[in-house]
Amino acid sequence: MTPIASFALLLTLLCAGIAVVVSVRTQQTRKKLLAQEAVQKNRLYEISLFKEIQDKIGYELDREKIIDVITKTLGNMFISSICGSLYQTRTGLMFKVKIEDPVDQAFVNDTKRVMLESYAKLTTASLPLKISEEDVQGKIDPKKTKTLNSYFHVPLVVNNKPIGIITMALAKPLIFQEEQMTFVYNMVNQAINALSRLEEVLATEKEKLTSTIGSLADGIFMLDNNQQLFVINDAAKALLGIKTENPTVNELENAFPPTFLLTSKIHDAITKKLGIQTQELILGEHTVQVFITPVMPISQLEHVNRHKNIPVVGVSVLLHDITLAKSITAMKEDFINMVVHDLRAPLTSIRGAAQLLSQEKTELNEDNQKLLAIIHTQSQQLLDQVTTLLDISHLQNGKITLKISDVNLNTMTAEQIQLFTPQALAKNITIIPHLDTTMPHIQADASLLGQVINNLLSNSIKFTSEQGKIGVTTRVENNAVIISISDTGRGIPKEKQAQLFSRFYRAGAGASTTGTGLGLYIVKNIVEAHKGTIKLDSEENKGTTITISLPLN
Amino acid sequence: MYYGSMHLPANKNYQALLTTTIKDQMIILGPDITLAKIRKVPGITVSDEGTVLSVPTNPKKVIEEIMNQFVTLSPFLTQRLIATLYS
Repeated sequence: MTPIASFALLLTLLCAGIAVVVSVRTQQTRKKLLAQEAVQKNRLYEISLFKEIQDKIGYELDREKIIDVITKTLGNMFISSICGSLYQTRTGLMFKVKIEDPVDQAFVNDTKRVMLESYAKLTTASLPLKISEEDVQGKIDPKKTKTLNSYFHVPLVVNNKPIGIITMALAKPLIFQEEQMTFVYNMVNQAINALSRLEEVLATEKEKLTSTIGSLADGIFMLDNNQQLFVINDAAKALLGIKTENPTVNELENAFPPTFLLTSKIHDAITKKLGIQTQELILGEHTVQVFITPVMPISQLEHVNRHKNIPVVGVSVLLHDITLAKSITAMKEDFINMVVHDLRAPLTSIRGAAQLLSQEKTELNEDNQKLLAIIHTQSQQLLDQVTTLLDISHLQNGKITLKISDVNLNTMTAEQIQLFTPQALAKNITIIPHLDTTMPHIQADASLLGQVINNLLSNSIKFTSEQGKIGVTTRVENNAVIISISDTGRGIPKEKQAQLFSRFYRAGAGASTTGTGLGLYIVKNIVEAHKGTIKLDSEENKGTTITISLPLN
Repeated sequence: MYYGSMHLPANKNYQALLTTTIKDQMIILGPDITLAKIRKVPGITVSDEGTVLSVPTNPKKVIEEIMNQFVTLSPFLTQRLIATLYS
């Protein structure tokens, strides 16, 4: 071989060698890239699948629903004969499977057996375990005799506590690839971790709620929709005399007086979506008021008036201890009674003495007579105010006692008109009575009813200008007697009308007008004590009409 | 993954202990995934029933490898495995 030929051969071999090296390197790089691409594809698939599960779960906290969603998604994604779950519910173990490919009962039983063994080992429970509920979906075909050849279980662990397993089972042997199974584990773990985080947040919030509720002086406990106790504070336990840490609903029910029927009231609050407030209730040495309130999701509360279909998620029961308030009220009442009694006696004496002195006018000059008149008027006014104070005290404590008798409303009204005629004449006001002569007698407290008419006539005269008119009407209407007093006075502005019957409110009060602002408050309470109603119609600068309706029965 | 500086007691029969552990995992996770993962650990030979037929001389390394394989499947079970194997 010539040197040139040798060189050419060497060059050819060198080129071929380089080509081989480049080709191998390229293939290696390609394989590497393909492998990376496959990993990326798997990762993307994993993410999309996880997103799909996450979208279906949302912020769901119901473990059973979440397990169902995961199991269903996996069943749709991977080939299996049976895809199912075994998990702990409130009532026991739930065995829930879907037969994807028809199998016989023996296959289902074998799957159940290995699932129970897995769950027992996972939870360190002893076999045999009892299944409380079974849900087997799909077709069981006795002719499809198959052997359980390939299966794997994914443990469901929420916040370090095993709650169940998801199982995929196949009749064909070794069909599940390691990569595929690892993928399923990743999937389920991610979904369950999301639940764990959510439950952790919930547990923290519950802890905050428990601390807040625990610091309340009032007793409070909350139950969920299934009437399971969610939280109870120490004050509630103390009021109910409960010693156990986590009492049952039965214990709570038994802590109330037998006639109280707690569960029935809770049921009413949930079904009617309305709060229930009970009257005073004696619990041992305490007097409490009980407020039972349905709990609805805060996010939906703004729609509460528009939509009736808002789910009730539970109920809260508040035990408001009014023992101290009641004893303070009793003390206050005693004090007012004592003060009123102590003031009344000397005031009556002053008024009487002034009256006696005024009868002997000859011995007093004009100035002294005026001073005497002031003493008489002011002592009378003070006496009236002291009496009002007592009335208010009785009204506030619901102690208004009616002394019922046969009352002729017309006679009573005529007497009151006569009483006010001198005052009306002094202002050139005309009182025009329209009394229904067919008016029947009514059963009422004559003294209190007289006080009502007296107050209304007094107000009308006070707020009606000179030359004005006051109409007093009585009539029978719809099984009720009506007494209506209207005037041509200054009227009451619309914005002040709503407060007119409140305590200490004086709508037309100016510097020249005297009074405590309690008159109409007392009037309203007396009318309501007679099961009657009071209505106001007023227009500014035109006049006011107050209509009282008292039931005939 | 590094599982700390824990020491295995010298008198333990690692082979028997590993067999028990693997058989437990086969019950909890199923034989398919357990065997697939175990057989990825270099130096260990396991039968289809989960019996460890041979282990390398450095069992600590094997255990760490097993943990690495199982931690992706269930961190909860891996914690339990560590507790069992190092107790």
